[in-house]
Amino acid sequence: MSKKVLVVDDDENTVKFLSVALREGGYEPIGAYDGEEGFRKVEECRPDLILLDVMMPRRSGFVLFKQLRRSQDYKEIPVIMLTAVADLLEEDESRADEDTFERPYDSLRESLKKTIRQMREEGLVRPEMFIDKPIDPEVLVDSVRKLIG
Amino acid sequence: MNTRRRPVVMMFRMNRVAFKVSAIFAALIVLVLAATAYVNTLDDREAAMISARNVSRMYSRTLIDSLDRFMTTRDLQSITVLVSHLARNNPVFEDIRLLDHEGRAVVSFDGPQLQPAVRQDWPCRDCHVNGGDPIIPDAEHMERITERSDGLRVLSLVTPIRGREGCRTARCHVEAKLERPLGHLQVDYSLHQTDELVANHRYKTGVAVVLAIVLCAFASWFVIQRLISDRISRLTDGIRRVTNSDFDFRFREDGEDEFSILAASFNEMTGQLSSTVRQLRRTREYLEGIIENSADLIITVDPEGLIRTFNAGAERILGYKRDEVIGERVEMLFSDPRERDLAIQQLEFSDHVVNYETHFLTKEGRVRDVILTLSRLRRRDGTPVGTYGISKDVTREKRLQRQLVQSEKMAALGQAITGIQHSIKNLLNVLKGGSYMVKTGLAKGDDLLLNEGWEMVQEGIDHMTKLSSSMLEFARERKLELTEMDLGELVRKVFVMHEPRFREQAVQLRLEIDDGLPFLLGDSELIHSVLMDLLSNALDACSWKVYEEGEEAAVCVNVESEPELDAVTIRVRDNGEGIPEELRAKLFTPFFSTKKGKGTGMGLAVVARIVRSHGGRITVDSEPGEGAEFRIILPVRGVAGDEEEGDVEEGVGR
Repeated sequence: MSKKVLVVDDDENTVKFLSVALREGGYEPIGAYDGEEGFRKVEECRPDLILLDVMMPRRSGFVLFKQLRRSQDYKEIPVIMLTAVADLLEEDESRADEDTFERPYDSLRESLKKTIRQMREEGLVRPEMFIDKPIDPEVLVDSVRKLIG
Repeated sequence: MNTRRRPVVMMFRMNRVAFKVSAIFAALIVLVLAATAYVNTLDDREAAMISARNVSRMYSRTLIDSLDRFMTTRDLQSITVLVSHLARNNPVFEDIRLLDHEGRAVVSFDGPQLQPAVRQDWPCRDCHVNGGDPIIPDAEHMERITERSDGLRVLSLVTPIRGREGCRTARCHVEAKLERPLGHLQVDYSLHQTDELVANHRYKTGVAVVLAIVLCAFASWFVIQRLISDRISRLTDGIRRVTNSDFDFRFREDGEDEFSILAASFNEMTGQLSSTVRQLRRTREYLEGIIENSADLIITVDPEGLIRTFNAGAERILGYKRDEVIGERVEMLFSDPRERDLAIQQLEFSDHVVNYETHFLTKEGRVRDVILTLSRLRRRDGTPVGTYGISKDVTREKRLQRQLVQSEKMAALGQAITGIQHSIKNLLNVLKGGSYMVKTGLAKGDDLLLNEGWEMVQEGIDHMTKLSSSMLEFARERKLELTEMDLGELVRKVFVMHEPRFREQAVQLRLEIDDGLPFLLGDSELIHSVLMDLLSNALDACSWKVYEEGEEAAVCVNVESEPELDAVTIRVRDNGEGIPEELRAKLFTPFFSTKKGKGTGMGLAVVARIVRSHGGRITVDSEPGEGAEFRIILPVRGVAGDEEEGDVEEGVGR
C-alpha cells in the first residue's frame, strides 16, 4: 500500500500538479484547499506526510501546523511548508537593517518569524522542511522520499 | 604729546586772549602814565621856572644893593669890574646891563652902548604905554623869556632902580625924585641849567614810565596767563580728550572761582555724557550681539542696494569676509539677481516679504537654498533707509527633503518590485507545474494529463497577460470624464450585478443608501470599478474566514451624505477575515497581494488612485478575525471643489 501525502493549498493548480507528481513518485495524493479542509482530511485519512501552504483562507498553514503538533495523534506526521520562510530562520537579524527600503512582505515575514519563535517556545518542533515556490515537482518528490521513503 | 605742545605754540600767537588783554592793559597804563608824566613834567618846569625867577630876582636885588655904593659915587669902573667878575664866575649870567633912564646901557658885557632905547620896544613899552609918559608901575620887575638861535633860553629880568635919599648925593641924580625909577638893571639869566634839569627829569620820568609799562605788561601777561589762559587751555585740552572719547577725564576742582565752577559743571556734564555713552554702547553691543550671534544670515542694504551689514552667520554660510562685501552691490549674493528684484517688487506692496525662497551664491560659487525674510528699514519720519534681510540656510533641509522624496520613491519602487517578484513567483509556480504535467503527459502518452498541464500553462500565461496589462494601465494616465452622477443609482447597479456571486458563496449582501443623496461630480465608470473592486475584496475576505455556528458571512454597502463636509461617504463593510495591522499600511501599494495567482496586487492601488483623483480619501479599519471596513469620502464638487489642495492627480489608470 502506497503512502498517503496530503497537499493543502488554496491554489487548485498547485494541488493538481503536485498530486500528479506525487502519484508519479508512487504516493497517494490527497488534496485540500484551505486550512479547515486540510485538518478534516488529516482526521479522515491520517496521511504519512503533509505538504502545507502558509497563506490560505480559513485557517492559515501555520495555524493548522500548530494544531497538528499540539495533538497527540498527529504530532509525528512530517510536514513540508511550501514557503520561503526557511531562509528567514537562518537570516541574520542585522541584515534586515541594511536594506534600503522596506518591502511589503517584510511585515509578513516578521509575523512568520514570530510564529516560528512561538512554536519553539511552546516546544513545538519546527516543520521538517521548507520548500519555496515555484516548486519543482520532481525535487519535491525527492524530498518527500527522503522523509518518508 | 600733540595736545601738550599746541598751547605752548599758541602762547605767542597774537590772537591769544592773554596777549590781547595784556596789550589793552599796557595801552591803558601807557595812557595813564603818560598823562601823569606829562602833568608832572609841566609842574616840574613851572617849579623850575619859579625857582629860577626867584633866584634871578634875588640876584638882581642883591646886585642893585651891591652896586648902590658904586652908583652913588658913579664909579663906573668898579661896576664894570664887578659885573665882569660876576660874569666870569657865574655862567648863569648871560648879560648884565645897567641902563640909564634913557635906556642907554652904561655897563654891559659888551661894553657901554650909548644908543637910547626905543620906547615901543620891550621893556620900555611895559611902562611907557603907547610911547607916552610912563605910568609908574607897581611891578618891581619886568621879565621876558627869549630863545636864542642856538636854542638857549634866556630870562631877561629888568629891575627898576628907584630913587632914594642917597641918590641925591650923587652928582647925576641931584634932583632925583624919591621912588622914581632912575635907571634899570637888566640881567639876562641863562635858563640852560634849569632847562637841562627839567629835560633830565623828563628823561628819567620817561624811562621810568617805559619801564613801568614793560613791567606792568609783563606782569599782567603773566597774571592773565596764570589765571585765565592756562586754565582755558587746560579746559580746551580736557574738552578735546572728552571729544576723543576719554570719558574718564576729570578736571581738578581747586578754588572757588568761575573757572572751578566751570570745571565742576564740565565734570558733571562729562559724567552724564559718559554714563549716556556707556549705556548707548551697552545697547549697541547688545543689539550687535543679537545680530552677530545669530546663526542665520543677517544682511542690511542701503537704498542704493549696497551692503551695509554682514553678520557672522552670513560670513560662515557664504564664505565671504565682511570687508569683501560691505559696500558691494547685494545682487552679487544672489545666484540669480532677478530673484532679488522679484523680492524687492513684493516689498513695494508691503514693508515685509516673509519666507521668500531664493538662492544665494557662496564665495566658492556654490548655491545655497535660503528662506529670506525682508523688511524695509525706516526712520521715525518714515523715510526708507534700506532693507533688512534675515535668511535661513535651508540647503540641508532641502537636500533632506529631496532625499526623502527620493527614498520614498525608492521605497515605493522597492515595494512594487517585491510585489511583482511575488506575482512572478506564483506565476512561475503554475507554469512549472503545468509544464511538468505536459512533460509527464507526453512521456506517458496520457492526453488527459497533457491537456490539463497545457491548460495550466495557458492559465499562467493569461494571468501574466492580465498582470502585464494592469501594470500598463496603472502606469498610463487617464483623463477624468466628469459627469453629474447619481451615486445611489450607481451603487444599486453594482449591487444587482454582484448579488448572484455573493449568493453563490452564501454571503449576504446588504445595501443602505441615504435618501436625498446629492448628485456627485465624478467619473462614473471609475467609481463603478472602485465599488466592484471593494466588493470583490469583501467577498474574498468572507470566503477566507471560518465562521462560527450561527454566524453568517455578510457584506454591507452604506452610502450617506456628509452635508457639513459637502461630501458623500461610501462604506464597504464585511465580517470576514480582517486584515492584520502589519498588512494594513501596505494595502494600497501596487503589486501587493496575498492572493497568489488570483490577484494582481493592483486592485486597491488603483482604487486609492481613483479616489485621490476625485479629491477624495480612502481609509481602512479592521479588527483581524472580525472583518474590515473600507471608507471612501468623495467631495460632491469632485476635483473642482478640491483644487486648492493642489495634490490632486488629474489622470488615473483604469
